[in-house]
Amino acid sequence: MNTKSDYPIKIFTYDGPFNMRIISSLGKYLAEYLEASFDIRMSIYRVFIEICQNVALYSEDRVKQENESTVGVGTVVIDSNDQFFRCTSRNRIKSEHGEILMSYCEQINSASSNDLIKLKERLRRDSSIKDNGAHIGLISIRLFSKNKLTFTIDRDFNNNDFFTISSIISKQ
Amino acid sequence: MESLYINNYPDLVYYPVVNFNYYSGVCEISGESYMEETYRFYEPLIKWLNDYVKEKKPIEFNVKLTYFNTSSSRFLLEMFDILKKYQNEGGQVQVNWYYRSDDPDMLTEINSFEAESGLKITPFIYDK
Repeated sequence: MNTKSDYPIKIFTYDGPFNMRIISSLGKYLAEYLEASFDIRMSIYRVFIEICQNVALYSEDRVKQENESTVGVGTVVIDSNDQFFRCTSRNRIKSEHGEILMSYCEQINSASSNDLIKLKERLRRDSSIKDNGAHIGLISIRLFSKNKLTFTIDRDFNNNDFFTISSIISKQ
Repeated sequence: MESLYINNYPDLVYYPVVNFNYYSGVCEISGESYMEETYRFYEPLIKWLNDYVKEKKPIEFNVKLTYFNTSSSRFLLEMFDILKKYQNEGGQVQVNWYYRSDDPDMLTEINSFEAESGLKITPFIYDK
């Protein structure tokens, strides 16, 4: 049975375009105002920025910015209970990307931290300099959080696929 | 050749401050780095470093970044590759990375860059 302190309370929810000014402002709030030690606040901040960048870069729902480039639209939620902070994002994806994302996340969850560090180094070395590196971003989320990723893909009534990913940062 | 100083976006924390001093050979990048279109920001830095090492002068490269995204890290690696190649050709290179003692993830990143580039990166602890 859950006690009151186990039940996560929302710190904030954001739903809209994920441009850097917005991401950065929300991230700074987390880094500066959460009641946690420096290393935990940095972990939340880094996980938050990585998760938001995934939405910004890869969401299928996009809006134009002032400079004519586009940013992704989606949702991010930060909540916490006595044991952890949790960062969750949700955005629409191309249907053909669902399986790839699931396999990346499964691979990341089954690997040790040392193996992930090596994989990240290899992927970074092999990536082109204009590559934004979705796979590496997911690895970074797992490494910064020190916990396994939780992820789902669900389909709405209009056959749109949505990717939801959660990362937990322990308070101890 | 001139020094390169970039602090065009003091209100935008996702752009780092760059101070590459041609005369002293001390180069510093500090703050955070997770801007959009990363290559547009880093291309001048890569060009500056490539031009600088042609002059065969010593270089001290100081990193004081507290967070950088994946694509920024690709450019950091690119800069370390340039410095490693220069060192292999006889250039005098010192690379220092400043991080907080309560930020073990940053030390992991430093070790990764050292392993990937083959360049000695000296970690320095600073505490506020």
